[in-house]
Amino acid sequence: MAVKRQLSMVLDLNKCIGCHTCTSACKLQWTNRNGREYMYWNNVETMPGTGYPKNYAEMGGGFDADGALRLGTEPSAEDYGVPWDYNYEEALMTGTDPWLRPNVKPTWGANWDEDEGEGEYPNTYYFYLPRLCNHCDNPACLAACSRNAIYKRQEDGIVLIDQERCRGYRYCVSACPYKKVYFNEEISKSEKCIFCYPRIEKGLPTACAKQCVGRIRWIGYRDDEEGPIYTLVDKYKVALPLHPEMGTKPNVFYVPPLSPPKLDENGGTTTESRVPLEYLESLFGDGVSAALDTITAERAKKAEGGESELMDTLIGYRHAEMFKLS
Amino acid sequence: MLRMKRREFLQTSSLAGAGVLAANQAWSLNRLEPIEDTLADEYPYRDWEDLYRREFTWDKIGKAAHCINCVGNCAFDVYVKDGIVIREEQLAKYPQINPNVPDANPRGCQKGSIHSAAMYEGDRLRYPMKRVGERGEGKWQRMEWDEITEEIADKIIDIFENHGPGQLMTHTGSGNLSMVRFAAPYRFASLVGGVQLDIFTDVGDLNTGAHLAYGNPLESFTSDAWFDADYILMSLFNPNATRIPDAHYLWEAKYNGARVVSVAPDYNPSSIHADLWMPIKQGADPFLAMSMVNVILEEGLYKADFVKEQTDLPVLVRTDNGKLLREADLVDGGSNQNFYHWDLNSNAAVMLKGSMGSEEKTIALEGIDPALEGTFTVEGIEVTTVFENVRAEAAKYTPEAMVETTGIAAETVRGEARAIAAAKKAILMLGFNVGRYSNGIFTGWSQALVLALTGHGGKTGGMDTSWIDWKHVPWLSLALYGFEKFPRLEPGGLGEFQRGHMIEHAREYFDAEKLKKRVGFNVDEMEEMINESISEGWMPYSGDVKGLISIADNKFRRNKFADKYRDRILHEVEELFVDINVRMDSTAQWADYLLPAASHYEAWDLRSVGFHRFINVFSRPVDPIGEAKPDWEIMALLSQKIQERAIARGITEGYQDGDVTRDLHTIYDDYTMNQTLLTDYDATKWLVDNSPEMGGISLEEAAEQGFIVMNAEGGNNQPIPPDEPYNPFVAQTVDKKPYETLTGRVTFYCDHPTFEKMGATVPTARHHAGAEASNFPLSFYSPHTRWGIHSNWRSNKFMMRLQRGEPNIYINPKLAAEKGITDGSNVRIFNSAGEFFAQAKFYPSLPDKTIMMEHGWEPHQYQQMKPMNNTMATLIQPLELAGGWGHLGFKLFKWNANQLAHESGIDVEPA
Repeated sequence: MAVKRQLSMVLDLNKCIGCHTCTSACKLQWTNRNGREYMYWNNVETMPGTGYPKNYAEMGGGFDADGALRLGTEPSAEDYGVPWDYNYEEALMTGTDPWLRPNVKPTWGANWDEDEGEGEYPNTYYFYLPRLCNHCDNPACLAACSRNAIYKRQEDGIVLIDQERCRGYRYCVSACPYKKVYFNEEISKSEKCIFCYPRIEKGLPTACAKQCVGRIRWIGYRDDEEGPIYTLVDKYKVALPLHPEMGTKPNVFYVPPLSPPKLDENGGTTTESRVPLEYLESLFGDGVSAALDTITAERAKKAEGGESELMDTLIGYRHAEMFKLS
Repeated sequence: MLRMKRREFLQTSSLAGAGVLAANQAWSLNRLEPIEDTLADEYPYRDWEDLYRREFTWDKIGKAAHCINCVGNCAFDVYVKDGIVIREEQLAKYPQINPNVPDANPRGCQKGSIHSAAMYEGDRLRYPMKRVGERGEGKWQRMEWDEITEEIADKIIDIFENHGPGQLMTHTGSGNLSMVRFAAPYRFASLVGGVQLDIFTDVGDLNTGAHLAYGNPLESFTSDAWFDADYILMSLFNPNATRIPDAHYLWEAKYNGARVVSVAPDYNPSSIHADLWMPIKQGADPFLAMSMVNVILEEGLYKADFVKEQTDLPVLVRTDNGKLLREADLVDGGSNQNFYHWDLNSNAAVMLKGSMGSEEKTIALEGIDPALEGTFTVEGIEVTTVFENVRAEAAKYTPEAMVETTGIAAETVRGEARAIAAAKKAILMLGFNVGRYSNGIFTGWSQALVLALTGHGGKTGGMDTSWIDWKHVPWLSLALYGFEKFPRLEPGGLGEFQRGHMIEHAREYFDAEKLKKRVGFNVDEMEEMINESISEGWMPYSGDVKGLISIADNKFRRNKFADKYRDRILHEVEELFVDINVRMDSTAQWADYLLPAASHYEAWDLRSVGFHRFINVFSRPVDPIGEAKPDWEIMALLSQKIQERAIARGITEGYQDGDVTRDLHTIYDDYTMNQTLLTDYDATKWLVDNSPEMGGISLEEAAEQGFIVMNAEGGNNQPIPPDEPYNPFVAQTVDKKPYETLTGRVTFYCDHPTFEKMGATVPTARHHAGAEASNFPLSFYSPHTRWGIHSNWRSNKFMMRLQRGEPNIYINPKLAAEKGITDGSNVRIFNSAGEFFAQAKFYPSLPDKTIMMEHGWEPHQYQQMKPMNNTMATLIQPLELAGGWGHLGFKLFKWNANQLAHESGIDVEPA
């Protein structure tokens, strides 16, 4: 770890309900103004799916096996989705438009393939994946910035783009394999999730985590062995980084999802999970199988009336204690 | 925006490793010095960070929830800067009531979290306005409050003068569920005797099966009471999308060891986290429940002790006429609300305690061992038990015989029935869509039977009906004028059906023979039963009205046969149509007068309706926008003008209206309690000061905290335990208090003539109408959406940008391919009732003979303003019209007929 301390977040996909309250919280906290309107610093994707921006995982970026930056491309406006507006005034107040409709024909948006997933009825499958900046140990955006305007704060590892120094070259936009850096055309600078440092500095969790009604997010320091991040990431190894093969070493981790069993041709239940293990491994790497086994085993302990530190942590009895910011 | 591609840099560099790119230092410009390793070293220029810090500032924080019909009820901090609400954030400070149960924080959802943007949107009503063109033409003229309310007051007085009382509908929709916003128009309606429909049934939200069984459909679990369940089965319920603030308790229960099962036609957003998804055929829920009953009875899994004490299953039924054996059958002048057990100890019929005719208010058996099985003779009358009748009916529903109907494998049904029987605490959850099916009453009733047989009630589980009716006597007293005068309360589904002349359209739409085969009655028979119910006085109906004051209601959005309904109502209320609303919804568009109401953050209020014990406080963080006013003040001003104009017009006496008078000449004094409750603040304070369940806190303290924790007094059926989640019917299961039913027990036998006529004296299964009762091939499935609460927030741009930007249907790609429809394309949905257009969205988790469209889109969001409901043909379930039988009879929010939404078939084609 290059920094003195590193803040980190765990998201439990078994609890994510796809409500986008995190997205909305972030939107009003940071991105409903000042040229950021099209951006979602935090968003929720239905997986399997194209993700946001559209097919971002195929746009390159990150590092290759030798640690060299890989080529990346910059998403187009269409890949993000144009933030259309409505003719409220004309349609509703003056009777001059026939009905309420968007000012541009929507053809893509940040949640366009919601609940679509894959598979054939009745054996379809999908789950929700919220995403924000990973505040990586080895950020590709930082490596790619020709201005050295991107840095990691030593006290908490938050990755920031210096808004005075940035000249809007956008190397960071294409270098980030998660496509979580956005170009603000209005000010010609790149912007991204700032892990709500103005809130963190006041002892408050990020807006997305504090407002998460599914209670799926934990925040803490990586080095805090008493904290939830250590318990979930290091001790029980049930929380895994997204696309570890990109080489950026994310500090956002996900508890991979269990899923109900597939049905056989007679509608009977099988022992096979709906979401294929290989698919989950393509997202979260080799640790998925062990993580799911651990969760299943610990849950069985609870069902039999036993104790489980892991289940108690994932239940999160006290919301305020899901965040350990000191 | 981002159209430029800049790849040169990365294409030309063979960059090494993380971090430093020494070569790039040459790019450093102007005042900034070259920077070394920004990864490992302290970055030297951090003053700029104030930029984002400045964006996290505000002038003050107020408190509010949202008073919409979502039953979420979540406390928020409301951040105000320069007099404008800039954002909101869940308060997240509810106390944990028990260390072994997760706390309720941070209740909220994405809609509440963007409300500060919605309240300033272009559809917000800011000024009083009068129509200057034709109705619906969209031509408006601003008016002063004084002027507009005086004009309306005169028209209201005209209606009283010309037609007498009872000709004014003053309907408050489900949009006003906070205490003061609810009380204001209801109090006004109580004074003028206005027609008010039941807001549960006018949208089809009432779980009538639960009322039939338990005598109270609104006695349910606080959501934290899900946590210690070890078995949960959800039907017609998708909490991940529609119970967003509560859903976490389900998945925490799962981590706590519970088995969670989802029963739904589509693999929905809640199914994805379940242990099992049962892909039921749409509407087959009662067949599934009856097949579980079959397993429980055939495999002997029932809990006899629970059944004998808590249910009417051991009650005696005559074999000659199928009627319950009543005291009146045996004793001259005996009650027809007293019933009998066959006591195995004394081998004799024993009258049961706790029924409506009994003096003794207990269901404790106290030495009686009632027989469940057998045939007996009581004074020459042959009798058997309800249990025997139930068993005979259930015998028809083996899981094996039901596979075709339900689509669920027999072994799966057996497995789940056994798991329910073995569970310590099993909860069967039913969402509000159960009320929107003509066979929903059978779903609720047969699931209640599953629960009762397996001993689940009170702390051992039961039915979650998605609503708890807390005890707020002062609130109701404020809303209903001290219970001295009432509005003309009407059944919601029935009132709309009658007033909208829907029977004509139903007769045109449904195939009489197919309908009879599916639901057991045709339209003519239904009409007969409707007329019987009204003429017998089982259900009240006031007939046509001359004027309408619509408050927080979007009737032209929610009603079926939509355009035809609207035309009919507009014709009926020719003399006056006032809409009191926060925004220009699809009903406000057609009004004569628009009165702009304050939004959630602009008025003092309290809200208790929810699945928890917290009463949230609205502290009026900002003043209303434009000239909008809080509902309380609007109704006060309107009352004032009516009183002034009545006196000026020489009206000095009330209009006799049944037992009461409608006193227009004192209505302002009456409404304001002699001018003591003039404002939203006055009314809020009065409630806090007078409600025992609020525990004597002051409004100032409550506003500071953002919520009030209700004390034990808040429980209707039993006290709210201070340190435990609230489970329903604990008073009955633990303390043996009778249920509010005819027999005082959970009811599985109903010998009401309509139930007899429909062959439904015991729980059984019936089909809903659906595509099979139509001449169209596809089923139509219309659940609630995660993106709105009915039509609220449905047209909000922040929500729309996370959807498809315009109304969309969901279609299985296979069906789409057959029809030549591609994802994102425009389609036409049609049947003989009407048509509409929408965007097609692929949803492989939906059966391929079904179209799904979430409800709630504003009609004005559709192409040509043709809404989904144009294709929705509807019916009335005659059983829900029953009255004069114990607990069956018109009861607001508890027993009356729903407006149904899933009874039609449709077809789709590319548009």
